[in-house]
Amino acid sequence: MKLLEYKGKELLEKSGIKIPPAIVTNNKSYINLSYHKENYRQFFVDNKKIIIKPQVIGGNRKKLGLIGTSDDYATSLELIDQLYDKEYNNQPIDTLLIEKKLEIDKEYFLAIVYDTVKRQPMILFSKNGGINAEDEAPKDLTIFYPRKVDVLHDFEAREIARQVGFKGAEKIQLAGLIKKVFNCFIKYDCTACEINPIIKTKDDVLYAGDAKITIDDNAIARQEIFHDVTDTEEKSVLNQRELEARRIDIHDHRGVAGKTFVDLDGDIAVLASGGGASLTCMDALIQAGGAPANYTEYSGNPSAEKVKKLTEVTLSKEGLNGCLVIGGTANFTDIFETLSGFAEGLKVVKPKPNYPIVVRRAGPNDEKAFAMLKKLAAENDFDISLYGEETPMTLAAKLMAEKVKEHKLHK
Amino acid sequence: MSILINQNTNVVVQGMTGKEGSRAAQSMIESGIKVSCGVTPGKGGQKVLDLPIFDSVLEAFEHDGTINTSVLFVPPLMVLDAALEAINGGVKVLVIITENVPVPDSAKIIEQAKLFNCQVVGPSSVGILNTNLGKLGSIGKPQESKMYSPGNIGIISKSGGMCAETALVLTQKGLGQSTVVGIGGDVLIGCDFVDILKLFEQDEETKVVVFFGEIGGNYEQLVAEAVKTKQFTKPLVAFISGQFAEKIGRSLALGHAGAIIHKGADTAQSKKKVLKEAGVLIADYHYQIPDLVKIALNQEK
Repeated sequence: MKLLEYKGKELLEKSGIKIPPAIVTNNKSYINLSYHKENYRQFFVDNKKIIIKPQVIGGNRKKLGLIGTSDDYATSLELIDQLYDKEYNNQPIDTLLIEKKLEIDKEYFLAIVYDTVKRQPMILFSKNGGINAEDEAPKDLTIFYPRKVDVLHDFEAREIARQVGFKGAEKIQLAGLIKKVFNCFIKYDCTACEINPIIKTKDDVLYAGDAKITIDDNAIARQEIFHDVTDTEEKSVLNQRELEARRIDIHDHRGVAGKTFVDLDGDIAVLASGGGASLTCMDALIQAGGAPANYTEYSGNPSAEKVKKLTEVTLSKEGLNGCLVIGGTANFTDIFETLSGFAEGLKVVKPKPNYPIVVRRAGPNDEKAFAMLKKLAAENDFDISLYGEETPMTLAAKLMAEKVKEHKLHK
Repeated sequence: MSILINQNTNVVVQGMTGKEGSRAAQSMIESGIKVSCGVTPGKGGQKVLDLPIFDSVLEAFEHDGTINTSVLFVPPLMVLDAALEAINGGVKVLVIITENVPVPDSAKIIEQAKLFNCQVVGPSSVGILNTNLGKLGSIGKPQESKMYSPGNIGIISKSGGMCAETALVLTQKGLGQSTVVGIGGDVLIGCDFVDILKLFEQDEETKVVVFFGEIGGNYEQLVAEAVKTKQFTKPLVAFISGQFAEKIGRSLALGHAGAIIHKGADTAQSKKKVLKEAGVLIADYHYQIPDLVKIALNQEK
């Protein structure tokens, strides 16, 4: 889960890192409510100069002209109004972070992520942070590996500060900050924690100027403070269908269905099984001239109910000309149970699918599943072709592409 | 000779009282692997498949001192504790079948395994299979299936499903397999392609290795390095999936957790390129794998 900047900063503040004084507005009329307006006026008087930042997942806000600064109260209200009328990635802006504009002396870059080769956290630091480091990490990065995967000793933090050229009180100050960010990274099960910039003010205080924090989705169950974080964080990336698919997994942890769902431009709905198989089938479908309408995947023996929901979401797209249910040969996934879910979903999809459906599945109870689908096809006049392990998976994907071509000719 | 599984393999199944655990344990036994007992904290004294269940790995070792392997089926947030228990208990091979293990937990498990000289396969591994000796985990049984057949092709795959599918296309062309290893598709994994390739390098049973890679991460690039530096010298055939994902053009995790596409370096194309340059044979279509293996076998002669 990627956190919006202000949520990320809340975490940093909880971990003892200074963040600029701030107000968060969560809709356009927020600031105009008399109570909030009085608050904001006071905030402005206290801080004199402010910076306004839309809360979105992703970068480039400054280049897109979405960051406002003002030292005049009336102008700042206009700016807030104007920002609410703009869009980011074709999505409306619904949250603004209004902060005190700090007197910047220097800007640094700090990030902690997992190194997949060494299989442990790595700490990246640069003296050249700020806007120039937004697209790609700065070139003068210093990389440091803690000795343990979950602890950064004080002496290690001081060592990083020394390596990047800090001395005396500055060294101790930066070491303190790095240690706090590392503790935050570990405590909240982050997979990425990037602060760009760390702002050093003219009065020698270090602040987190931004926060890009990703929490491991698999750890959220044990991180209670994130349990009330809603979909809004994802909204700037996912569309409605993608969000619906993603919700399928939330309340039922048996197997995976819909955790990854990507809407695409084509006309062949795809319900693939298995991470590796699904990617291979998508490649094969495209190589054969087919155009997938989506990418999604279910695996790990999900319940029929989950597959039903995923089928409904996947087939809710308009203008489909085919549906491919595909996967390798399962060892344990009950093919009858998952294909029953598909059948149940198929029955309720409106309008009733009249396009070719290709199923390539094999594994436990596959014969029973195929008999069930044959009956379903006969009773409801569905055009379903069934293939088992004798037909290579990638060949079934090719057959799908051919059937769709045929279907479009006769439409 | 073989890798990760041998005649002395003796298994404790952690989480054997669960549905997946007991089903896999039964299938492991049927495949010819010795399963000594199971461990589920709080369920000590019970029996599953006529085998004793203990509350802890230490008790399992008191029961049978020759245990050397653990196969782990516990729920995701319990994996860390169970894995550390197994590693500290002294198992030498730990296969983690559980999916959705938090990355920080995997890091701790891998750190501890290094200290104890324990080989961790997974998380999210489908298991390991030797066509002569049997299997560990959820992977299919070598004997009963149409997929696996004895021979001298090693298979390594992040994807569990593609272990089976890759073996199937080989078997259908008369090419048998030695050992098949599902290394899991997580961001952090215990053994990567190179770790397993180093084992295959020493394995007389294996003449050619096929590996199934995908977009995201850089474990595939490390293979190219290992081949260039002669850490692996046998013929190698690779298939890299996920090319379509690059056309989507946004950072998203597809397939496995490790397959997160960023702009640039970790695309299927760039992986194929570095592997090709290192002398690895690349199958553009999955069904071409057997043809390339035959070419590789001829080169060997």
